[in-house]
Amino acid sequence: MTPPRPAAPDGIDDAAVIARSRHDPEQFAALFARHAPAIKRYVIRRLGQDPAEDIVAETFTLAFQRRDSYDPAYGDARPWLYGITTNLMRRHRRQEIGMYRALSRTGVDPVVEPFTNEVHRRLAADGERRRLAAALAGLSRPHRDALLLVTWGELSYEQAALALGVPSGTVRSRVSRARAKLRRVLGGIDQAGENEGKIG
Amino acid sequence: MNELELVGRLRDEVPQRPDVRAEEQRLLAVIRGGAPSGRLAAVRPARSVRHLGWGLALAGAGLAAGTVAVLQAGGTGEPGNRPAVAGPQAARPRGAAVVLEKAALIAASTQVPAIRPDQWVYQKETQHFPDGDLPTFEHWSRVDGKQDAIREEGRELKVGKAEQGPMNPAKTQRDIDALPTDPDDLLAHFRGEAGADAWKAVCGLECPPGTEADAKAFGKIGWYLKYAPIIPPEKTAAMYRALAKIPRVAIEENTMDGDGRRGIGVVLDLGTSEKTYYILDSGDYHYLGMKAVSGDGTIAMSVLNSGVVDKPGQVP
Repeated sequence: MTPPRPAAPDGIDDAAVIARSRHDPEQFAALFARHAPAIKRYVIRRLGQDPAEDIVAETFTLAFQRRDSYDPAYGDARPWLYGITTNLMRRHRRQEIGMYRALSRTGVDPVVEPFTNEVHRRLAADGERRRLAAALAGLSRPHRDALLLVTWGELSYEQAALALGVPSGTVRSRVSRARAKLRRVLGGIDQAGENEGKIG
Repeated sequence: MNELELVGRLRDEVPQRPDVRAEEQRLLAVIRGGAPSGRLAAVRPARSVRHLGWGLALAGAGLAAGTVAVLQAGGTGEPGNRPAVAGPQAARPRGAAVVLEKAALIAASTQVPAIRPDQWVYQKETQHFPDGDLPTFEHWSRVDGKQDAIREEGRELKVGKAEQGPMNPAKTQRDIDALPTDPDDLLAHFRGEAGADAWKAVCGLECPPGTEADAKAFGKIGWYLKYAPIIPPEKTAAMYRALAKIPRVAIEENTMDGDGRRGIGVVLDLGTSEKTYYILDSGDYHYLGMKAVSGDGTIAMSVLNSGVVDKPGQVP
């Protein structure tokens, strides 16, 4: 579904890039090149195009300023970066919910509108997506964060737990409860329990 | 399909690799100590850039921008026989069809040099914004798309791995090779291409309803004229002819670019407050630069020099 992430040049992991950036700050740009597009896509999917630039720029600026505190035991910086992004997105909670509601109400998704052509727009108005959007709007913030980090963010439960600063069991239970709520709202598109536990 | 798969498909239309050059510029400003840590927004021309939908201004920032020189229409072609203005152009401003047909005829008869994969395409570009200029920069991009190099005004040459995203020259060259040579097919291709390239439209994501396809086609033609390593003569010609077929494209003779050079302005007016120009050399019609003029001022980026060299740091 997503293109492969660019391989770390010369087999250098994120921790090593961050370590190098301590004495050569411009090295940090390599971390940006590796992760910024995926993080931006994640932010756009949740909040739309408009606040994404600020959030992505601030995520990497904060990360840069905090790079000395990065734990080099973690080779993959994505949980750390998505954690910062998640915090920055909290200010925009109302906008996020508002856009799910708009999609649910009108069948037109303000988030994808800029990226789609007329034909797609007309197709977009199916009931399933509208119910799904209503369900996402109805999730609590912790449940939505956990669910979207493991789906749109493509983090494992363990990585999402690191990002959110909670135990991985907590992420597991939040995702599971979020899924149960989505199933209820979607109403019968899923045979009860059939897929439970298959993913993750 | 279970609910997780449904979530996974929701908003999957958002591009896989959105343009992040504005963010990169902001990060680099902080890394280089040019910005206070708190308010970032003040340090960069992001509004203009995002509005434009061009990454061009940000290429100067360095590492991720794989800009490439334009080699098309490099010679001093002879206009020769009078161009025949073909097709249903009657309702169009006469200038665009005539002028761009002439550009196409010259381009079609211009030899394009053969280049090797280990050579580098070079470009020197200026960046002017209403609230101040960004540094002029020189960029070298290895033809095989593996490395690129940048030198900002007054700074050291930096050579690095090339970005593998949409700006990678090897990818751009593959795009070019796959383009149709018939102007109508080419225009249809640019107008209809999928949404991931929306940022190439001159109005980015803010085009007036109904103008998106035109804005995209105009934006992409300019993008390739500027960034493609090699465009075969017949495809350069097709690009000029396709430009002439876009509604609301007109010619403004004697247009000044951002660096005081006068040329032929190919202007797209979408009825918004902003007009976008490509400025072509009045002799051989090669691409000089672009500018976007609105009530907020003028954004302009000019290509001052370009060509092929054997090493980064060399200048044609």
